[in-house]
Amino acid sequence: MLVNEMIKMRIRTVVIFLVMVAMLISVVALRPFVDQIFGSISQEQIPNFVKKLMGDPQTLLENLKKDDYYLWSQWFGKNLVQFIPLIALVIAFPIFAREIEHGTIHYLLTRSTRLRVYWSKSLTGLLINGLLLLILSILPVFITLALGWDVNYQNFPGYVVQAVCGGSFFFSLYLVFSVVSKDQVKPIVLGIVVMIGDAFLGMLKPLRFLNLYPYMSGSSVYLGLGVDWKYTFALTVLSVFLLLFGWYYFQRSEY
Amino acid sequence: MIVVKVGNLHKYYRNVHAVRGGSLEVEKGSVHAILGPNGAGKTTTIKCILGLLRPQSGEIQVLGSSKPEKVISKISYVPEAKEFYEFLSPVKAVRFCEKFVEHFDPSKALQLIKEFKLPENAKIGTFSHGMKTQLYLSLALAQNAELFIFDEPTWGLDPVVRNLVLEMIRDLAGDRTVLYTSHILSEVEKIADKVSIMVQGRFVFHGDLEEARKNFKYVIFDPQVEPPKEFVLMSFKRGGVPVAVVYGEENLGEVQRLYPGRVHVEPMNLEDIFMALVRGDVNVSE
Repeated sequence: MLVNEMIKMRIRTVVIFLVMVAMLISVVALRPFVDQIFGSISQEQIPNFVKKLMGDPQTLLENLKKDDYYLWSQWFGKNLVQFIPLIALVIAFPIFAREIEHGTIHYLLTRSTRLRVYWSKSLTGLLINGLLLLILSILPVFITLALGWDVNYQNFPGYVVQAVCGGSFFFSLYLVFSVVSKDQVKPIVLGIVVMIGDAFLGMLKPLRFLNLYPYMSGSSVYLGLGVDWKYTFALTVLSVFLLLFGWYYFQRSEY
Repeated sequence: MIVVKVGNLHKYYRNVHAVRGGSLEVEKGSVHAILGPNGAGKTTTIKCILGLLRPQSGEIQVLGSSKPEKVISKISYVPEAKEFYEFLSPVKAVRFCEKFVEHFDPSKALQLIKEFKLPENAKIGTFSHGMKTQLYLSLALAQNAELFIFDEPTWGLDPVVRNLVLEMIRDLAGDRTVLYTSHILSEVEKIADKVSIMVQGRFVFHGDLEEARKNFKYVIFDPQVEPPKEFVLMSFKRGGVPVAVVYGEENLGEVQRLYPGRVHVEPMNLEDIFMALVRGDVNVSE
């Protein structure tokens, strides 16, 4: 069953992996041009709202000259973190919704128990999602070592924990959308709403804790505060709860 | 021995009462057909038996268990929509089933795929409806199951393949039990041992085909005679001549006794019986 699920997910997984690797390579390849790009812009040319958003451009430029900051801000803090919910959505949304929409759920549920169908499908997706994030978080280690960058490698376990944990939460949430939907459109739309809503709600001060992006980017790890264990624990509990809720719903669903 | 037992089943879809107290018994080793017009509740009954739908009330026993999931590995099911993974080829579909389905015989599945002359390495997504049906049947028949449930298995098949499939289904009986739904009466006459007719969520007839043919009769009356309502299921006029459908030897005897020499009896085939039950809104299953 696990193997069969992996067969179903293989194209999505390979495409996601290749796109992300291409993105990582472009981040690394752009490194020498950062000075040129930022250096050619004078303070006066930068609009005020951009200054507010980015902080002092001079400090940013100085920081970007450091390999460690460049890698964290451009990969973990910008590219990878934006794609974590999207990767989870692409992996999770069809897991049940496609089977229900295409009618293949009848084949599965009349050849195996609901327990086996639900957990093998869910855990395979969770495993693939987690492995993708693990590889995409660790891959920069090998690239930067090969290029001789000056990077604090002790931070990487922390980046991995926060990226995988955040990704697993999004996966579990999107899996619930997939279980409760009779077609594939609804979980995609709901997933996009969650992605946008999460960033939007995080802009409001009292709801800042709802914004998962700073956590998933490993900002606390980079700043030397270590892994945010409270947040990690809360997200793990929520992920387990969502997976169990999905199981509860699946058990009682009619097909 | 009873393999499937359904008692007083009720299933609603919101406000629609799809199955209204249906009861059914399927004997081991038989081919049992459920006949009925569209929307009669055949598929709903089957889905309740398989645990895909949850009835509001009623008793279901499948292979000795009240929980179909516990015996699911002993059942092979072909649904109304024969959809399989379109990105797979028949050969890959067999490999998929080998890993997923208990008691699955891959060599038998491949042999059936060859017999149906399906392209072994083409994607299922490129198949016609008939080809998809043949593939699904190949996979389902390769299961070493005790109970086979087919929901409209020959829909969309050409006559040659349809006959081949009917033979295959007929060959299952004896060791295995077949529960089969259809509204193609000629098919049912060819392969079914027992028939249950369902109309508007109710079973209106249970019995074997011989019994049905023996019990249901057309009685043609003299033009001046009014068919006696207490002994006939339904009556109508054919070319100005009163005709009645009578069920059972007792009722037939009463009619003949009331009008000696003024009636004559004609046999009914399954289609006549089906039409009488569907159009006449009568119930002889009690």
